[in-house]
Amino acid sequence: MSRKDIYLAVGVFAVAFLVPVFLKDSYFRHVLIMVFLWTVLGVAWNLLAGYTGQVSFGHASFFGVGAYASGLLFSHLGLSPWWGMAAGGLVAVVFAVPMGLVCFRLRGPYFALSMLALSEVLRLVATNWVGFTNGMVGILVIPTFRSKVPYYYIVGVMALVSVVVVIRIAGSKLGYWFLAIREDQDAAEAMGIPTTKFKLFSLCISAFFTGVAGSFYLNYMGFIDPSIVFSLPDISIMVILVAIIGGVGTVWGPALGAVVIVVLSEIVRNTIGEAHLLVMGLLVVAIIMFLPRGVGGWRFLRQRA
Amino acid sequence: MEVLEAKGITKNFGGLAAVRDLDFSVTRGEILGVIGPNGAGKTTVFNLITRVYPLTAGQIFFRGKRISEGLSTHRVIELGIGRTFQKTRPLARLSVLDNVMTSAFLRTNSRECAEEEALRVLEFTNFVDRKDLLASSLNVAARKRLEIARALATKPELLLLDEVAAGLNPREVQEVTELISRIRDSGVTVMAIEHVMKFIMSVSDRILVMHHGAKIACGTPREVASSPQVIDAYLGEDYAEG
Repeated sequence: MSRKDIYLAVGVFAVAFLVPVFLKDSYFRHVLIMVFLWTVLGVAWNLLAGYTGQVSFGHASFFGVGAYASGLLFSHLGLSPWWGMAAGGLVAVVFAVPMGLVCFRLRGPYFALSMLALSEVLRLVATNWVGFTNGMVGILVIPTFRSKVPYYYIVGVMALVSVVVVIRIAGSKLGYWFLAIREDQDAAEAMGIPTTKFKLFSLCISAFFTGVAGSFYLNYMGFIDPSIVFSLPDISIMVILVAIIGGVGTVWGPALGAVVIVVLSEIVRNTIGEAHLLVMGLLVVAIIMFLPRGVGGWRFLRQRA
Repeated sequence: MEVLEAKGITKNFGGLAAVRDLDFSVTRGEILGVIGPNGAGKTTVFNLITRVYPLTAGQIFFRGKRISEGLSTHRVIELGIGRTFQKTRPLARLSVLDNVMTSAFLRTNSRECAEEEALRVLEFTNFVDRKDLLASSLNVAARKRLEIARALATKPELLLLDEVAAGLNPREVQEVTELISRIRDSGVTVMAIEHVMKFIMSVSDRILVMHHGAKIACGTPREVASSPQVIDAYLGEDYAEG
């Protein structure tokens, strides 16, 4: 099962990697880059929430911390933000450990809300600690490439790696123990599973990918400020939508969710302008009503869940 | 030799003494039954052994090692104590096999080894034909059996069974009685809480009787059944005297 998924992943991405050869329009390339970026974020969130059952409303923390780690290394030390990408993931993990130790004392909605609170704290720190972060002025870097193609491949590889990592985890001891924690934390503990430790593992892996994605965002867009990268609606909530629309607790759900959400929001934005959020909201309601397991939970794409 | 020894264990929940100054021990290879009226503190004893709650007072030793302080539940399980839950707790959205494999991963990191061990346990518990069913689809008897299979897959030296015969029909009780004897024969020491008298009387080597959190009798099924205090606790004073 997991081998088949890996072949499928490599196949899907191999096809996707041919796309820029034919697709010359830079707007469409941008849309696909966003699909890959949201795939990474959705996959990362889904590992923690869908597999381990720890729903987080504060994943913007790790996105923002990752983005700011590479941004600050650049603005303070002159280090290329590409080097900062590795640092972005690691710094996100460094933040994730204490956040997890605090928030994992709570369960269910209380965990979700405590993550949200910490994420807002980080946004406020980034906003107000002007001497260190530049506050709302933000951080500007000069994009390395003028063409979108390098970005397309970099984020594409990130998405492929994140999907393969989750497939590998799902078929291993780690995956089984994550699922056990999701299904019943007390039963898991009575099966000998150190639940706090494994919840932390899950959070760290999730935070790492989210942080790397944040760093990539800085490199690609060339500009970040706290209200963008620590955004509650645009990052924390959006990533939940991506995973829910695609199918929580499935390997392919977040990737499908990323396609649906990014493409739909672009279409809606381009056609009806001002009302796009309203229409997006209605679409989300419709998908949740008629495909409660998400697009990826429908028929043949359903995974062991 | 004593596998488990409890010395003066006490647990207070606020003003309520759920377990009071209880001493007991479990000898290697035996089946110790635990009975008592509802609220006697039987399940609390299991929760104290597995560190779901900390003790108010007293000490518990497992194979001579003190386990009543500083350990978390999963550490106690890892040392070799398996347990089931009275109210069954299946991993609902996983298959029976996956449930048991999850436990088997405690002793191995390899998926193949975990699967092999899980299949062995399912074979042992006569459950292998239902390995691909979702745990949520099982009936009460099957859920109880899954609890046992899952606990066995952690390779325990001592198995704590919490009412595995409750709510079963006579044939199912017979099956679980046989299963528990086989578990003992495979070298696992068993401590079983039970209300079903036929079951506990036939399966136990010794029986510990609890009432209001304290021990009122402990001995062979025959000794316990004729103890006046036991009859008193179950049926009232009038019967005990007559």
